Amino acid sequence: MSAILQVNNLEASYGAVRVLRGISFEVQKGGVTTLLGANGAGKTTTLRALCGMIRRSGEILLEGKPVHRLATEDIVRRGVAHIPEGRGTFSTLTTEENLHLGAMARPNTDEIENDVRKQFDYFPRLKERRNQQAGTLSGGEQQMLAIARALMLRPKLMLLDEPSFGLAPLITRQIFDILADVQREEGTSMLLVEQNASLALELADRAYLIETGSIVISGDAAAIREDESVRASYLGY
Amino acid sequence: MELFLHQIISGISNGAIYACMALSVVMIYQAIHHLNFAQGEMAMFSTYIAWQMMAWGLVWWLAIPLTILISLAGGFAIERVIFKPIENAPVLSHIVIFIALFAILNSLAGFIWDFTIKSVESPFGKGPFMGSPLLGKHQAGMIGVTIVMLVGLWAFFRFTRTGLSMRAAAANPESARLVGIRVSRMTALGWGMAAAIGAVAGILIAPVVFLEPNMMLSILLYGFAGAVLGGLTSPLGAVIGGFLVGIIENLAGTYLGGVGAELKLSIALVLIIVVLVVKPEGLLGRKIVQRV
Amino acid sequence: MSDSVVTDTRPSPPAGAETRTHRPATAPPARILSPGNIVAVIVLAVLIVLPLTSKSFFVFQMNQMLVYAIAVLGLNILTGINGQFSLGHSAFYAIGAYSCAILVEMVGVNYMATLPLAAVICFIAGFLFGFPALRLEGLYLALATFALAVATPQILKLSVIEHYTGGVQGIIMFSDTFEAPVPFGLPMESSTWVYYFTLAVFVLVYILAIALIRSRTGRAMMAIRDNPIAARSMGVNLSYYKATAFGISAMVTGIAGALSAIVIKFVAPDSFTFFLAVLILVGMVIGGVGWLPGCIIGGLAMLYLPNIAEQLDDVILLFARPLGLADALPGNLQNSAIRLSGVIYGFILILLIYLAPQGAGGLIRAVVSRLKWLKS
Repeated sequence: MSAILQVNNLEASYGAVRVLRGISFEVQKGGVTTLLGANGAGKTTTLRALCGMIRRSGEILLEGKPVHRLATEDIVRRGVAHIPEGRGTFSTLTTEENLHLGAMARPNTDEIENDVRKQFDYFPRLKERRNQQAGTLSGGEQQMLAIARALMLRPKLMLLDEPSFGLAPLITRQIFDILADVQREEGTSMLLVEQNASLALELADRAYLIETGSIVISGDAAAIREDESVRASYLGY
Repeated sequence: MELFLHQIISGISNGAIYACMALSVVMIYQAIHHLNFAQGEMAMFSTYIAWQMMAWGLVWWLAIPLTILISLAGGFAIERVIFKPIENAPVLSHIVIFIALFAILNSLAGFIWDFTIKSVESPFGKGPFMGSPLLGKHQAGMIGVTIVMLVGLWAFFRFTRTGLSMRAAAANPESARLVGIRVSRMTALGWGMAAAIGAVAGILIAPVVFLEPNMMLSILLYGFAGAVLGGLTSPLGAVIGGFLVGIIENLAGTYLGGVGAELKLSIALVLIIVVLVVKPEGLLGRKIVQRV
Repeated sequence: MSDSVVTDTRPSPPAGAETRTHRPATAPPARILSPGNIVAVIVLAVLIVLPLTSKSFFVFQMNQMLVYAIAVLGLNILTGINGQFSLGHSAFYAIGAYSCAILVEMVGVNYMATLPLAAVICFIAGFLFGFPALRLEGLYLALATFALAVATPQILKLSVIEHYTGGVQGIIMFSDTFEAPVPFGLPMESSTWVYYFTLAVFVLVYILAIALIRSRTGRAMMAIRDNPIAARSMGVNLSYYKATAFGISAMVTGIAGALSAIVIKFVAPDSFTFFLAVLILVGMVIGGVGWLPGCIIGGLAMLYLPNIAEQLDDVILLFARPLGLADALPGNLQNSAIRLSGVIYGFILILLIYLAPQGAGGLIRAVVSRLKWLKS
């Protein structure tokens, strides 16, 4: 199985403070990899570094080609959809406009209307609110919108930053079920950053644990789930 | 009663100038969430370019579109060359650069074309509009062009991909990048469009107030007043605001006696302050909530 | 790489978390003989000795410079300390100037006594303007103050109040004595006395400004500048402090205006345009926002910047004459620098923002910290 994303020795800093100290990991094509860790460990920073949103050094290969010198927009145009912390909704624009924006990086415009319809089939709640200002949607709906918007890109790789954040358990469950469906039907590769380890490990096939900017544990998601000592000391359950 | 009506209509036609200027201001605001204090000078410079081309013998229906294209390119270039390097600097730096731009354009215009007043012929011709005693041809032309521009802009933002990209880039630059929008290109495009609209405003105004390098400062103030009154996030609001400012200014001038005529700029000032304090998003603007 | 086994790559021993360096909560204890204080004393000494060794025109210019420095200080209190913008300080400068002129010429108050009165009037004006401006942030406040600056000359020309303001022609000061009378029969020229008077006021205002920064009020104002929401949640009354900051700022700039009336002996509406407001702002930026000593540099900038074009023209001619080019310059290019003065001004501003956005204050601080780093 080939890797769609290979990261070697990634370092990143906010100004003078170094947050990532040379981490390496990969995401298999069609697979789900999850990055776990406590607050401040460097998970979100990793995603931002991958997309060129902060200063970074190291090697990032997307489908074998280097992208670590590219600007954010160009990385996105190569088929990487990043759902940021806080969803990144365009709150002053309508739900439907948000979806259209998701497809902005696609060169051909013919299939876009079809894709919008497809997303509304996946997420009927969004269809109800298609002309509403996106900022008025509930947290769960905004998360669905964020996922739908990312899917509009027909991405090769999806980066998800804490999709469970701020959501009630029931909604979170729904979101993760949707993510599992999407992964199964579209075969989208995913890199999932999460604090909710149990949900993440259910969805993922591979897991890494980050602690203060370094990867301390890596392996099979199922194996980590079974490992009592790791769960107890790192994942809190 | 007829005097009142006349004042209203006269106010509307003056207001067309302010509406155009306000539209240009809102356009820039949409693109960069900033107010360009040099907008008036850019419009003035464009008007001089148009005048120069016509002085060289070009017909107005060639000179004006050419000027608009030049202004589009010029605005784009100014953003790329002068503002892009400081895009992350604090607001104060931006304000100083706007002022620098103001000084440069004003002085350059005076140097090239000197400070004597030039009269400009209206492309719409002189005389009453359809024989009406209330409206002149040029005034009708001004109102018409403003409405056409407004509709064009509305359609652009509502129905085109680029328009949507621009709105997204201004609303949430980071998210815009994450959907692949080249935000800095959109910003530069916004500048170009604002410059083009400003050029149209200047060309419409020049036949009325005569062409000279200092013509635009007070008009810029009225343009700001109109934009604030209508709402900085709404092009339609800007146009309505501009017309309203024209009407209010005219009514004050007529009904407040001699003082009224001298108070025009103060009225704009008071209007701006009152709107910003009572309803900062203006009549048609959207309220922007600041999350902690 | 084994896929099915959990790999533990924890470093041993566990690495300590990297702590961010904190800025000390209190400033290091001030030394009396610190380099900053020494420079201040030297500058003050130079300013005191100045009239004894210079031509009267230069004294007049330095007098102007001190007036401008006070104006810049006023704006810095608002922007540097409280974080609010103003493109309209020319209005408060004008109120101060006109208050002084009207009190002297119409009411017969001694010109020196007008300063406290002008100060109170301007404080009230600033405080009242500050209240509606409370809810305006950054850009919107800049817009409102811009409107104030543009409207001010027109307001000053209003025919209803012409009797007091002198309308378009303004007011000539000291119409009976032609110059400011020197008190106590001191044996010096009027212009020399006015210079020392200005210097004394400058020192007084500067000391008050420092006292303000060190006071609780000053700290509250700075807290509002840095993080208004946090400040409010700590119980700082935003409205009161922001309006007060406006009031104090207007008061100081208004004092400068009153002094300018005394120094120039003339006030007229077109002296107080938007361009003056811009000049004060630029002076503050060049001196360094939030760096009080920069007001002297700001004052010098305000004085000489508009004249740079003239100097440039002289420089151009200086080179052109020996090369025999002076006459070859086409009529259009002669005095070109003056006619392009706005362009030169604008380019200087652009260079300033690109290269030294923190102004002189920033440059000096950078040099000082570099020296400290070299020493350690």
